[in-house]
Amino acid sequence: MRRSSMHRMLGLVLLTAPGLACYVGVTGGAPAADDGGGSDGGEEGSTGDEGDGDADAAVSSSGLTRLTRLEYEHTVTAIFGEALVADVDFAKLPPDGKVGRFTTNEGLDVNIDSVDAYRLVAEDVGEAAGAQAATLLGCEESPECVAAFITDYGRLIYRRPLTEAELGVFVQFWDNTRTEGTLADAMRLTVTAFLQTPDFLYRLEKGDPGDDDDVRRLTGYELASRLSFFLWESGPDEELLDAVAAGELDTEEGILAQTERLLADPRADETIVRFHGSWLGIDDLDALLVDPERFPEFEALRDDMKEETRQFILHVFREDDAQVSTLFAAEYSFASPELAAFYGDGVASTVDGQITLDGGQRRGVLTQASYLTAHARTPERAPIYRGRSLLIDVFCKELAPPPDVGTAIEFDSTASARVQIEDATSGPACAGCHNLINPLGFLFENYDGVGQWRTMDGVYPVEAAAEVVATDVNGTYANATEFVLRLGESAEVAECVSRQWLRFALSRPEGSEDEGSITAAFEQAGGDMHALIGAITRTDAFRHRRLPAP
Amino acid sequence: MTRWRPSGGELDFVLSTQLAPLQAYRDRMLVLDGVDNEAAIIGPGGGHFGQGTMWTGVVVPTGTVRPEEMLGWPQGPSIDAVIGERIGGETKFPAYYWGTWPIATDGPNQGPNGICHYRGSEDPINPQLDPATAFDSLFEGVMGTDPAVADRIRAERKSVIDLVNGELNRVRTEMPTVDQERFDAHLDSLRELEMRISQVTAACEVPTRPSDFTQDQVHDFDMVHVFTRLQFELMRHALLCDLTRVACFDWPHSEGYGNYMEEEGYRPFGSIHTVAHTMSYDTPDLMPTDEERAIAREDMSNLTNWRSKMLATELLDKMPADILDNTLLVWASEMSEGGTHSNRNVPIVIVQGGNFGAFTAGRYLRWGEYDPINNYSQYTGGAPMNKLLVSICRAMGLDDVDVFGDPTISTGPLAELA
Repeated sequence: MRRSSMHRMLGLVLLTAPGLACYVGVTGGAPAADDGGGSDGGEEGSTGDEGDGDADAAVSSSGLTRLTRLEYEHTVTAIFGEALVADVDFAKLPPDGKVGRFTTNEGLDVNIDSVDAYRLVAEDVGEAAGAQAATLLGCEESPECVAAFITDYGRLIYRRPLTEAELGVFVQFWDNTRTEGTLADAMRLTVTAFLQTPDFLYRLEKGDPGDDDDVRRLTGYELASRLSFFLWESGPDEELLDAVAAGELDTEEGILAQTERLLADPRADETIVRFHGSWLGIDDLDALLVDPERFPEFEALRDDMKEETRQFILHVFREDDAQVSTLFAAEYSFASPELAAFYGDGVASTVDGQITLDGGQRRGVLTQASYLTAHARTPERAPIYRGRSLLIDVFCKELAPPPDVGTAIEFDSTASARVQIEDATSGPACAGCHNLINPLGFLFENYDGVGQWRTMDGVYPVEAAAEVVATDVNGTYANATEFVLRLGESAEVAECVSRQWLRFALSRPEGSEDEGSITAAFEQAGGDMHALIGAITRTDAFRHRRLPAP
Repeated sequence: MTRWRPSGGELDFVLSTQLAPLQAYRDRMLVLDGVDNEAAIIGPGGGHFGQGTMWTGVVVPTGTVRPEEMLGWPQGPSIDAVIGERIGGETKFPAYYWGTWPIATDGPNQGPNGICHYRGSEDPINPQLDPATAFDSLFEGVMGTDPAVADRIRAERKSVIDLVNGELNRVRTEMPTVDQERFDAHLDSLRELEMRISQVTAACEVPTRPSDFTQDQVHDFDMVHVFTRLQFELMRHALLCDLTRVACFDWPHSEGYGNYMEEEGYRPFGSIHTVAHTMSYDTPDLMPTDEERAIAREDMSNLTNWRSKMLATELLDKMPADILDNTLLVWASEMSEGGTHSNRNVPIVIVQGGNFGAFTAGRYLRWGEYDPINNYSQYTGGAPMNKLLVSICRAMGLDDVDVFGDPTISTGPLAELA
């Protein structure tokens, strides 16, 4: 499917800031004065706090989160089975919100249209369930059997056992419906109703208030939902709910064990891939507008490029060492024959779709065509977009917002794009930010607008060497392949990876009170992204909720 | 724009080839030449982002919705939502949104460059792209099906809503105080839903349900011509059945690649986007020759001509006289010119039904001065869109509206329309 894309032709290209200043700080930064209790955030980290008073747990506030479309679809499919929902049109679900590059409905209200959309989809699932009523019920219809059905399915739908009162409500509803109609009617309407309840649609986190009413330690079931939605983008399975009932999520060991179980499950594959696709902007490739007249070879390779990154990420996580350094500098990848041909002599050898790279041309995810194309947009401006992505996505730097009125660079053929960008951004209004952005982007000048290796930019030889000045791995590099070798040793990058995973895990932007959790997770993981996930699920931020200020 | 513009003066104007299919409505028309999509011009978001400013009259602010450009959603409702709220009465939908628009608020390229309509601040509305889904939501409950069946379905939905309402109220009281307003919003929406689905609309002509299309088809630029016809038919019937009184339709925006025009008997040399850029564009690799520009201009004229034809033959011609007399049609684009992405002097056509007296129709109105050699950056003295928004509100009976959108842009109506 191709949807439309955009590239803005004007503006944004020149980031204006007063004088030469370009605020570059790490996102988050110092605790805000009004956030309260932040002083112990840094050292607290993931250390156990088994007591019930968690007023000293460091966590920033979050609103309630509603299921995303994908979470809804995964959860319903897991509960009722793929066959039953085969004809359900989940595309009717209401649209999701986004925070930065990550999809989330945290803090987003419903409106009449989204409530109506939930109704339509719930009716579709109900219809399908009604057609399978006897099978779903699983026993001879009787009050006990109906109660057992509601108890079992209710636990999966509410992601916790129903209370006696809730069970009563649904049994009563079933009975009323059954009096008027058939077994299929009762099943259809009961399922339709269940899927429109707030316990299903929202991740309700009441928590246990301790000394500080605003900071609440999540209950076992709430934590189970966080774990499951984080790693599977789906509701908890029976085993996870059983573990909660057995008290296993009350201990760090128990949380780690369940994290490992969920992460090992194939359902986590899609999550791992999606995280990287969102974080690095690679998902944009699906709908990216690439001029077919200028890059006629792209359209046939679009899916192969995404597939390369998908296989690469999974291999790094599942088969290799899951190190940050491997993600950014591995000298292997996976390519279809067509993509391998596109990479040309950048591929040293191929065995069963796995390619060994000529490290002088490519290594790591940032030199894959998917990433390079997603951040090229208008090809002449690729250095700016790529440099900006490096700073913001990979180093988690904050840039000053764009000026109110931008000025487009009018590219012509009098010089290379690099020279024209350097000239156009050297003035005092622009240089503050562009001195930081441009060199990172110039390092990638050996790749054209769709990521193909080049040594010429039109009639001009490519100059990819640049001096990086905005990071903790500053220095002069010959090109991107030299630079990405250093990313594995950058503390800024390792912390940024931790930050991005935490954003994804919490379905919200981090606040200053979350800094301790970010630091603790990345210090504990030491560049190992697999260990990082286990560390994140035991942080204060993951295990607590701070209520938003009224 | 030069090919869109009528010739002649205010009263003796002659429609251009682009607008010629609307000739039958010439005496009910106002062709507006010189209205500026001002909120896009003052920015931060302009160009394609003018879609977010066009009907809201407020700027697209900086924000995180579009990470690449650091832009957010407009902070104001669009005119359709405001008018629908006021004149909707007991209709099922205060406003309804159709489109053949392959972009969504949560698509990978979501943003105010693709969404024109807003329920309120930072509250974008996705047009319904799928005619079958639009049909289902519009016409369910409309008499025409077996009344006994319709009654039973309504009763079932009511029982489900009652249960959900009970659960929402329980959860609301159990959750911390700060979370409760979330459930207030949900409860409000549920009440609206209850009204919507319990509505029994008097018998009216229900169109044939469109066939089901896959999501890929719905998002396929090459099928825009098919969906335009299907959606226009639903629009007409929705107005006829009084299911809504504000009908919005979005055609694919200016960044599309697709060649559906070919099936309509035209022969564009490239995609809409390429065509639009070639008319005046300037990147080193896409420097068009004069000949190519001429072809591109011809292509774009054909596209607008086709859209005029669709409006005339698939919508206006087929509307009963009494409905048409009570309808105000406004057709506009957020940009005027492909290469520079200018939001000045955006093309606007109004067709005013016979029962409206707000505007003096049958006129071609011009504002501002522009450089004759197509340089719209030199254009000055246009009328702000915000004034037109006020005028439209007043034409629709919202007499108390004196400001729409950002009050620092303008206040009051566009006096010349009266």
